[in-house]
Amino acid sequence: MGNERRGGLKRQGGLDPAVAAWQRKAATNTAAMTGKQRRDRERVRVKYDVPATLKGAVEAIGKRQGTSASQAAAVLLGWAVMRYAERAEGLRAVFDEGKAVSRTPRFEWNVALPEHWDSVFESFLANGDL
Amino acid sequence: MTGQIVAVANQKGGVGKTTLAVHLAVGAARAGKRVLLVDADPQGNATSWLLDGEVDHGLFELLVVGKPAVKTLRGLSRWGLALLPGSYRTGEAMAMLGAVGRLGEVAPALRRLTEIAELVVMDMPPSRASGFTECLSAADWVVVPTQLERLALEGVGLMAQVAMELQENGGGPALMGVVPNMARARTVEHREQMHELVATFGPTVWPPLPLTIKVTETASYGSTLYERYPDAAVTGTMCAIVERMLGVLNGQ
Repeated sequence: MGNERRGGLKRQGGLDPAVAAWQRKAATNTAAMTGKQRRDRERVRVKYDVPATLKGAVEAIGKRQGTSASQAAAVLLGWAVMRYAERAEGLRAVFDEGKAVSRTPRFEWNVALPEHWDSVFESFLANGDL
Repeated sequence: MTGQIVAVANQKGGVGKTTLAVHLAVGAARAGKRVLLVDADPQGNATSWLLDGEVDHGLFELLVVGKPAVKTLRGLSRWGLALLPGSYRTGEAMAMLGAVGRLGEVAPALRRLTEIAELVVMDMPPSRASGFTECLSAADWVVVPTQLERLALEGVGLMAQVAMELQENGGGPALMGVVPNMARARTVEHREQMHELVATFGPTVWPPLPLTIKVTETASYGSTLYERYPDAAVTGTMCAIVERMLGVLNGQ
């Protein structure tokens, strides 16, 4: 009698890689997506805590630019990130000057916005623009 | 050393047997194989495709008249392969041989073609009419094209079953590959049928050929994908399928 094990479940061999690729592609049925679903695939929804005056200013800018507050926030945030990437001195200083020790173990510092920014945000709310 | 016979078969019609048979034959010839394409389908579509609409009763003459095989072949220098043409008379040949109890001569006659060619690709008829089983039993391998639709998949199941029954009786082809044809990745139905196919046949499922008018056009112009659309995605897939076939024939 042979020494090999017999019976049991018969294993299905690996798939043809081209077939597996087709199945992966098919699983993402982009044609059936609505325009909104397709756009949402590229974006994520985030939740940040910001001062109410800043929220109002972003909404005012969005209105002024004829777009949504969400898209205005994306432009403004993106612009700031680009400046940060360019090592813009003023922007990095804001972080340094606003730092106070955090009491939460999740991060080291609380960073407050400069006080004089608040009046600028409020003026957006009052006038829609400067 | 004798060659091998690959039958392209599915009892369901319209699944792309002739298209696949023609492209497997031409693809293998391009890869340097000495290839013979046998048009065993009484519709004679492969013959009409490659002989520019001409009707030639080659297979009838081989099986009934008893002409030597080499005298029934047509050289296709454009593609570097030979064709054993078929026509409506192929159906008559099978009926006549069946009536006089000579259907048993079909498989040996086809087997002898392997003395002429390294690879014999056989375009099979879309039914289990008289002579179908005899043609199939001459083959070493069977490649089954299918659409990703329930009725066509049932044809794949039946083909696998027939091949298995023939093997149990001491002859007949092994299942080489299943080729999903006219596949549309974006439809739920095709996705689900592909899932079924893969669950049943695993690695013998070969790359799916997408649905495209380019394939239809090649037949209309008496051409092949390799020449008419060398850079198209469907041509790349067809080349991959030819590679799979040659890989199996080479024992890989």
